[in-house]
Amino acid sequence: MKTILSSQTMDIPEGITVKVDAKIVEVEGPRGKLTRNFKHLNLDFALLDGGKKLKVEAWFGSRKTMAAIRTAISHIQNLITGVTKGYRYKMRLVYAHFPINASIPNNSDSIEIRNFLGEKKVRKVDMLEGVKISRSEKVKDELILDGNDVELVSRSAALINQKCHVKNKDIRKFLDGIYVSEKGTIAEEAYSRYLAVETLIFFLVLSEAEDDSPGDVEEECLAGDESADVVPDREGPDDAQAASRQPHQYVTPLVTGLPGRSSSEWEEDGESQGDGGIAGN
Amino acid sequence: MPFKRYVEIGRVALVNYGKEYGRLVVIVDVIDQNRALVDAPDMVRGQINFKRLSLTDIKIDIPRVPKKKTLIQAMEAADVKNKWENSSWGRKLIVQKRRAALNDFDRFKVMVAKIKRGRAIRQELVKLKRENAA
Repeated sequence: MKTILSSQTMDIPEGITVKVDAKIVEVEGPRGKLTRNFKHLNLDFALLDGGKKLKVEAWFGSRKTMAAIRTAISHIQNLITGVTKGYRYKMRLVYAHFPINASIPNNSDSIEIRNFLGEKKVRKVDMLEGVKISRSEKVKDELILDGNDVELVSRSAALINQKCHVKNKDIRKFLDGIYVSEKGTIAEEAYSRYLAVETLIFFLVLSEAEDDSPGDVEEECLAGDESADVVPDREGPDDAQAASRQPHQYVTPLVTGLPGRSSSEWEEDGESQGDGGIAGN
Repeated sequence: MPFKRYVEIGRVALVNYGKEYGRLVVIVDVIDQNRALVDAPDMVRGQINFKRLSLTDIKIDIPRVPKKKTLIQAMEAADVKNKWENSSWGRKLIVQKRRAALNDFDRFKVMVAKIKRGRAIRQELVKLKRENAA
């Protein structure tokens, strides 16, 4: 049965310009420009709200044309992430005995694979337009494919994978090849590196805290992730009570005259140390 | 690109096929996916296929299936007749009708008038060309 009208709207994030004319969609963003042709679909594309929303409509659509609405929107969302975050596909070189020798020329748009399963044949794969390939520095035997268009990046990965199929052997045993290990975006990696640096700073600060009295560790944990703030804050109370606090470790708790510290309070601090020193302990 | 004229109650349409060819009607109700109930001041209310209708830009404000009296009142209020005759589409139709209704003598008169007009235009053009070349 034909449904008179079915439509779906999607939001376009800030900083992206989308132009649609005669079912050809152009998306422009910080990483460049991507185009996609939807002329094979019988849908209406309309920009609303001055370019902030995109509406896709199907008039008198069968089940299949209505299904195409959401796929068209997903394709456009892929264009948008490609143009903001970019796509990064990681592949691992997997081999049991013969090390796969992969060399990438300077312009990083092709790859040569030698010694796959000990074969003399050299396999050369050209990357598709806009896709750059490189070897990962930190990880052994890893290739990184970068690009804006997810279709081109994933197809380049597939081309590399397909060049290294094993022939005339039991593929359950001969598992050699180049396999896609991770599909992600380029921007996300930058973010995870940022997070790693932040936690590193946090732990460094904590390890300094272990040399001081337990009270400081509690402050540390309460301060949370603002490692930038934690360091200057710590100095304040430290300076004020440094003289009084430092002998605390080496002197028995029965020493009076120290501000706010009695034998009963020791236990509280001990517990807090147990809670607070997650990383230290 | 998206559609601007919609099938709705009160949409004025032109019949482009069949017995009622060339008549302006108002869509008064939608029967199903393919047919509508249409009405006009000088016709009996009846059903018609959407394929036989061409939608116009004009829309009037009526309740669903109004009485003939209310329909006529609404059409007067929205001034459908004048809007149609002043629109470019309406004017073209009027000219087509007039041309189809000419008799031989009228066609002769038209021919003479066209020649006269053409001569006047060409004279002006030659004058302008001479001025420009000089």
